Amino acid sequence: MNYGLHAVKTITRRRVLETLITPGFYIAASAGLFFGYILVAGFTGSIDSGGLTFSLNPVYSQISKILSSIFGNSFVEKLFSHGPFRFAFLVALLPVFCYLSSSSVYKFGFEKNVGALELLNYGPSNSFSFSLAFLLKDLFFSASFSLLLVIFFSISAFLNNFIIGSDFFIFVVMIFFLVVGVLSYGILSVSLTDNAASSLALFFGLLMFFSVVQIGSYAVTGEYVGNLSSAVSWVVRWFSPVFYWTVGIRAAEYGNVPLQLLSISLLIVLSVALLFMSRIALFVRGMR
Amino acid sequence: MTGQGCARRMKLKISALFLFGITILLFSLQELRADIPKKSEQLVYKILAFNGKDYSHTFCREDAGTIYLLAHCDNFITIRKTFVYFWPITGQWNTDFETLNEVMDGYIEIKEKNRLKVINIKKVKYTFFNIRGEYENQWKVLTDGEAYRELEKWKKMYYSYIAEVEKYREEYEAYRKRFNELLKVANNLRKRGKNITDILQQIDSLKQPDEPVQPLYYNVPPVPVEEAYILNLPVGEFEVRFILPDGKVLEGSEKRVVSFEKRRGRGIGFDIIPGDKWTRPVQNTVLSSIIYINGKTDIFIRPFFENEYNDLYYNRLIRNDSTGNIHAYSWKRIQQVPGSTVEITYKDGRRELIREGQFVVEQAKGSSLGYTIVPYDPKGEHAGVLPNLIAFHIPKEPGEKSVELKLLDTEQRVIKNSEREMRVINRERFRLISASFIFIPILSMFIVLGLRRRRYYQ
Repeated sequence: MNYGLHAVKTITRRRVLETLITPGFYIAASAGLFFGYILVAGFTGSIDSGGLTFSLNPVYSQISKILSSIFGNSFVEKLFSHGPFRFAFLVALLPVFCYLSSSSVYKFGFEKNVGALELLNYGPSNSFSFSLAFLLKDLFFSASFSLLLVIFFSISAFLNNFIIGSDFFIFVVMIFFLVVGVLSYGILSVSLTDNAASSLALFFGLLMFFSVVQIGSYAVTGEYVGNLSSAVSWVVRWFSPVFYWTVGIRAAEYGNVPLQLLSISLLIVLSVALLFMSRIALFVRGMR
Repeated sequence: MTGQGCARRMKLKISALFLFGITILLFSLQELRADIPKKSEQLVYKILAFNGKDYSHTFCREDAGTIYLLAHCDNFITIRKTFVYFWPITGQWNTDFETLNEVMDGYIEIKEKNRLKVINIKKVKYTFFNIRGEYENQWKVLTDGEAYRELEKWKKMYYSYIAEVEKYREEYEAYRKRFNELLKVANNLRKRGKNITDILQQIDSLKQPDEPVQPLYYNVPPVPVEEAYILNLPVGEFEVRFILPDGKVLEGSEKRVVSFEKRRGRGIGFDIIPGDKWTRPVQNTVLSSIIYINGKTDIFIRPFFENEYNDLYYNRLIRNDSTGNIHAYSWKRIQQVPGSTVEITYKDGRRELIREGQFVVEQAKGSSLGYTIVPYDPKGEHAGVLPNLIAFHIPKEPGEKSVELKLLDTEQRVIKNSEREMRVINRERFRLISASFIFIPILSMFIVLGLRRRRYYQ
């Protein structure tokens, strides 16, 4: 086997084990499932004799108000037209995603800063295999938790007589590729900064920036804010995994499979480009 | 410090405090004034725009840069000076045409964005009306002579109907009078013990006059002839401005026009009317969405045609100062589906055809609240009462957790985009089983950490 690949595999296995023996992931997973449960239970509580009535449930009443004020009523209507699962999945994944990405970025940054990697570099591994292992570890846990969520929602759907449509599974696949893109930015953030705190700040700053620009260009705002947001978005979107994800989701909504596949491909291309950039950055800046 | 100085200082402090208090009070009083909106004189585009189902009024004020119109439809525009004000209670801009309504004379100059060709649009006299039909295309617009002729035709129809009603009233009055006279005679004869067969025959032979039928040709009769600039544009962006009779551009008249069309048409939406809340129907507009219900009552549904439009454009077509999402599309109701049948398919494969029915809401007798919805019986107990509800009745089927419904047209073909699934949710079964899932990761954590600890101590 290629030494580099073997190094990636070994470090990934090591990282996975490290995550498994610390309580953080379990707590984040439980928090995610709790949010998922609240959202599905709240949705059932919002169903009246004539259909979905958000005002019946305080959680959904607030959620629908907030989402409607940002994205408009038609967005909310479509989001929940098949059930609560797409929204619940997104919310439930957030704690785990935040935990995984922040712990990886922080740990990678910290280890880089204290020179703990110096030893590894004498072996077959290099900075790239080390960063790739972080990414693979996060993807492994994201995929595992996504699978757990799919099982949880499928059981909830069966018990409540809801339907989990094909659009939900497409949504899950799209989320996975979004996570790949976002985590690649995490690796790049570590490569570009000197310490763990600044890596974390840069990563979440970038994530916030992409999300705000995408939401801003999609939100119901005044003409000025809308135009400004759209102009910024037009420049930024080519680097934004959130943009490609949104394109894929909208393509799936109207059954445009080629566009959906294209958006997935572009997310992969973006991730590869980011990893390549981080490799160059690590090579140029050096890694202790 | 002397006592006098101290007292003076104290007085000064009290005076300062008093002044401060008065100032605060005055500022507070300012907030208590009546909220009279400030009106400003503005040049506005008054718009009578076709919205897919009928015509709606809006206006484009000076600060608003864009007019939104449906493509390939006649829209009526006039340019006026009027007072515009913001009404904070509704958060909307309004006009005060009663105080100032100065119609500008000239013509509209319009050109497609980034194109050179300019089209001049002159003011015309117009009317519009709606004739009975199946879908949205029954709106007609006529101009100049034709407009007057159509209006005359309508007036003729209307006056003829009025004359028929007048004649009917007279005939009915005569009929009633004659009927009462004969009844009186019959009573008198009976009291005197005489034969009344002839009189009864005469009463039977009396014919009640037929009530005249209202002219059914128009859904909406022609509106009185008015003058406006008719904009019928293809899809695209246009630049519009107003040219005065002296050839100068009217200042502040430059606007952008967005002409858009529906993205998808002939969708089918449903009004879901629960039997226990019949005045609060829930709209289901998203195609192939699932209708989740709690299954506690019968359901009445009313299907309607719908078109899908850009959310922002459509909202601003209806009201130019409203908001919306430029990236989202929403289904808008056009009109009810006429002459359809609902086909219900149950899980076991049973099929049932449901026809549209008329229903009456009967209040519960006595002091208790509540009502029941019963089929309308015009010749029996509901004689003289109009039905409250015209809809398809889907009765509650105990044990049925899911039904598929679709709409059939008059020839029993499935109407495209009308398929829906209706599901009854099980609320109670969910809680405990699902909640137990939350603890799986925590339990796993304890197991993993326990095993590790055991291994460590070994």
